[in-house]
Amino acid sequence: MSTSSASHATSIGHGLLAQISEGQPRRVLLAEDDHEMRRMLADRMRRAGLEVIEARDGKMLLEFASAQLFHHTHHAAIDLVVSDVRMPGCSGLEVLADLRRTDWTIPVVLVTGFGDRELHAEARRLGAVAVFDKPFELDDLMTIVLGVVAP
Amino acid sequence: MIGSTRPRILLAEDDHEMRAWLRLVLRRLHAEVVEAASGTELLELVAGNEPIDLVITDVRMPAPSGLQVVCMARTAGLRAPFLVVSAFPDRALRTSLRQVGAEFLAKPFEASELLAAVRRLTSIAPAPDAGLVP
Repeated sequence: MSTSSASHATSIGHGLLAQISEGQPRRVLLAEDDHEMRRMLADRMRRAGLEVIEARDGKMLLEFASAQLFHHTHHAAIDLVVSDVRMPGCSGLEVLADLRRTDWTIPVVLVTGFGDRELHAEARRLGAVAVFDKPFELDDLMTIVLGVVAP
Repeated sequence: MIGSTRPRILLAEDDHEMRAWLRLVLRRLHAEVVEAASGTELLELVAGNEPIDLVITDVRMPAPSGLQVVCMARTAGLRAPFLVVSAFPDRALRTSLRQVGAEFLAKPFEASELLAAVRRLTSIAPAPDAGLVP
């Protein structure tokens, strides 16, 4: 499942330079099945000036992924994915692994209520920016979100 | 680090006096230190093919910021340790640095504190000279 280290090394360079995007409105794909949590996160991100696309379960997240929103030409259509790890339909970690088969440029932040050491390690290996264990401070998540997407 | 391979440290700091001081302090480690004066320069170094044992960066730099560089590096799959330096350590920053797997060092700091952090993050063996000022 993992990419070879040689191709991975060159993709680090490519991925890094591709992440510097032009000044367009930043778009976040938010996947969270807990309705209240999703509303709270989406509202907070929109108030910070971000465009938020909401996926209410794993199925929707996969639909967005397969609709080529992740496919970038000059810049990514999605600037950041924030996803719960455990949702009906699939795991955020599986979606990340799937994404990372072809793309090491889209930042992904995971949120989990069951964060064991293995999950954190696997998430790091797959190039997740951060894993937030619930309960977490919304301010802390926003610091990372804005750290990733702010121009 | 074992054998004769010198550790390779990337250093990003836009204040050139601070950078000069850091360069002097890091000299004691016999590491290869490569310098950047901005987030963009640091990213170019991070994107290169050579091995990286540690990245030391100020959090506040001409864009992208030190935190953004860490986030981008983590997204791209780089797992080298990051030591982020800041004169304004608010709680949110400290927590977010922890979240992205970066360590934090508050300014102002002694040379010995920096060296201790670098040694811890890179497993460079302790030198016998414990904190002598040049």
